Amino acid sequence: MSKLELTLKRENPALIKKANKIIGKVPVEAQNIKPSLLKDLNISEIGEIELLSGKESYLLKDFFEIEGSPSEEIIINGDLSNFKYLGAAMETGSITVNGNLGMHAASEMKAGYLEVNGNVGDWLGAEMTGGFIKINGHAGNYVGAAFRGDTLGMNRGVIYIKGNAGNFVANKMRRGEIIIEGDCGELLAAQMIAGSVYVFGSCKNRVGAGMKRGTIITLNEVEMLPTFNYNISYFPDFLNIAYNHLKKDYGIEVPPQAYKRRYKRYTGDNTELGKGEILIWENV
Amino acid sequence: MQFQGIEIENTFAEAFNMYGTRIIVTADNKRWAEIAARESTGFATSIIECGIEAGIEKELSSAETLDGRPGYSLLFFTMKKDSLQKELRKRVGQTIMTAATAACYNGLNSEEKINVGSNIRYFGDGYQISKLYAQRRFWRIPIMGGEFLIEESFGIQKGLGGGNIIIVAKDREKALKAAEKAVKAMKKVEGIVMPFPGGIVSSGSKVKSKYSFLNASTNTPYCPTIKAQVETELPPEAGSVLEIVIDGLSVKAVEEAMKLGIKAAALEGVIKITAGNYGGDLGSENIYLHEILRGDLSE
Repeated sequence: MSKLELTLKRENPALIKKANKIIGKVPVEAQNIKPSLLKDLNISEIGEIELLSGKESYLLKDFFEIEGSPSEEIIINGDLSNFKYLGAAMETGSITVNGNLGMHAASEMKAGYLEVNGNVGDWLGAEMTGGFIKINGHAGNYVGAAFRGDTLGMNRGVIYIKGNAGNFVANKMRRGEIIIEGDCGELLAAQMIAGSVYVFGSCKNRVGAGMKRGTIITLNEVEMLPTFNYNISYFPDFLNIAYNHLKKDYGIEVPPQAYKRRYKRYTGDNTELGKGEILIWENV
Repeated sequence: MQFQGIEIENTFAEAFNMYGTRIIVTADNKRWAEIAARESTGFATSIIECGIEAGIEKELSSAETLDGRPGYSLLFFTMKKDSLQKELRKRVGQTIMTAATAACYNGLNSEEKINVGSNIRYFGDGYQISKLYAQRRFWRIPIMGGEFLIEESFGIQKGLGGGNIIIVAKDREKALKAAEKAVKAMKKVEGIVMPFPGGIVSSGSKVKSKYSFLNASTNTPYCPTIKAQVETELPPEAGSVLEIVIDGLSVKAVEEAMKLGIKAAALEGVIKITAGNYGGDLGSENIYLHEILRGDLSE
């Protein structure tokens, strides 16, 4: 199958230099690098795609060497940590980034696949409604969250982070699954409405604050808010289905100790509806 | 025509279109999975009096089920989609949800679906939890035993009910031996069940009765003890007749089961093997015995 390969130029308009030394980078808005848009263009037209950087408008060819052929499968090489909105609202195809990626990656994504072989910034998959995001490094804050003032965060789709994630992961999440192999910051799944979040590492404080419904599963102890109640220690059968589904459908390896062991079930947040649950694996 | 010296009558089984579904029931161990399977498929021999026809299709190992527990695959059939949903709601609610540690899932990949779990979830009184994995929705219902897990909807497809073979033997022992062997052979076919006790019908019926309040009555032409009193279909030496009824998810599966059943039942002491029909005008599919055994028969 044909692929389109973009490689970030060493010299590009986003670099801020002083005395011939790079001292910063201007953010680039990259939502136009989208499989559904690029697949129907020829290489010359792809080079003419508009990218905004700061208050200036540039062309894609100003930033990237273009190789391969037009395709729904896009590979991007380079440090894109100042590139925002890559894969935003994407609805088909795949984007693989070999390098770091900036904020708002795959926000409002509808379908398709984004993989980053590096770290990503804040707002990864915010308000996404479908698709699969795989981050092989770390992610910033607000993964799968709702934008400021909005009522719903991620609403379907899967986000898989092999490293750690920041604060406010799954804020106001409505549906879907977020899997974090490493640790995550404060206020995990705050104001969560529904969906599932798995953290195989540890979580910082205020897990589930203000959550209405939804499930948080963690393999390490959590400092519980006083507005949650302990119910039981048991193995919920649905976890077998959930874990098998993660492996079969997304190739996510769940630590073997997570299977067939007891989990403490807490419910809350009682300041809200109180029907959210936190399942904490018991190392006994 | 004969198969291994046993007469195979030149007739057909008259079968009917039905709607079928496959449910996978699992439990913590095989014993409780089997209890749930048997309870839910019990009293489901004939659509006429039971409202549904059902049976156990096969046993499943832990590796074959969605939740990694031992289980059974069950098939259910009714004439209409609505009645399938209604009957399943009752059966799943009363016999699977109540069985200790049991859970049940859709086992039929079909675009057409009926909602079962989405109704039963209300038993959770507001504490039920939905989980959506790869477009499949599950309901976790809190129950006294812990949690009952059920899939929201079950695939349905058009199937076939009423495939059958009738074994005419010299005596009861030989008829039963032949029927048991037939059932064992037919169980190897995927997508079929034999809904009667042990897969065998001891009291097949005919349409109509001398009594006005009955629609069906004993199959007098095949009752050996009244051979001399009625217009019999039995030869003088016939001493016992057993029938095997087959419901399946496809015509092909029913035909294959009938073929294997006839072959397995062709034992010493069996006089002939035939099939039940109503003249061919009522059913949607006529399965001719000589057709399905083509190439295996001799003059």
